Amino acid sequence: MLNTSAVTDAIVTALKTITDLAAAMTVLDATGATAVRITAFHYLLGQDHRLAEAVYAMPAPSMLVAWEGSKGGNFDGQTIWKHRWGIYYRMGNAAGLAVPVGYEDLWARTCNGATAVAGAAGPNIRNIQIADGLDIMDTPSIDHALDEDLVDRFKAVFIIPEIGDN
Amino acid sequence: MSAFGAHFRMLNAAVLAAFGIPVTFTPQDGSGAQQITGIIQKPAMGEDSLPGSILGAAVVRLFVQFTAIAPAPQHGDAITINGVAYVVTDLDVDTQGGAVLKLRIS
Repeated sequence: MLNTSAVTDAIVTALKTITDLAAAMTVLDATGATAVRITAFHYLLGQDHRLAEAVYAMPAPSMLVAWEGSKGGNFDGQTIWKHRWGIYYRMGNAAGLAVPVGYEDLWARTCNGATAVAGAAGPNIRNIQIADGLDIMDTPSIDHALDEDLVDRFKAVFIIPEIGDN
Repeated sequence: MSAFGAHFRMLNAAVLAAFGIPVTFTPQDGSGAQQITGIIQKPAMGEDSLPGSILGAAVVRLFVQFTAIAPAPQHGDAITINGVAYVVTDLDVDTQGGAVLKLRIS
């Protein structure tokens, strides 16, 4: 079975290559440098927050990628693992923007935007091999959610089958 | 306004004078930044950082005297606490002129 930690990072890398998605998540940090706020969460006690707090504390805008489990089973002749990631979204402040980027836009960009994992523009993230040993993902999903302050947020789910048993 | 309302305004003013901190409110109408006073309240979830510290808490609930602020705060306005920039994501305005601004770090 693959170590999903590396895949979490690979998903972040792939999402960052989607130009207009990355642009919507780009801010100036405290030093004035640009930062793309698409990050991985690895459950590292002592380094990371707990996941619930990390999601609660996501700045606007940002995206957070976290592995959330793996399902074992005999899915077909070559698939015995399906790994699941949660993709959490916080849109940026749209006040005063002539062309705001909302959750609908972020999801469309996630699903349809060209990736450039190999350096050149390639297929969208639904149709690429995100990491060695993985098949292309199952059709992804997204759902509305409310945070602790009853403010809208969205969470997508990527389910990615592993090829064989690595 | 009723005496009840007047008493609430006095209570809010007294509490803000005693426990309030200065924050910078930047409305989106372009009227310019102004200093207002607010009280940081217990958030929905505790975080590892103090609100408005250098690594400020990401989510802050700020009580203000809503009726004393012009223009009235609205979604998308900016609030800066000790140099940490927040955006107003929600407002809970009470019947006596106070409000809790729900802020998220931006």
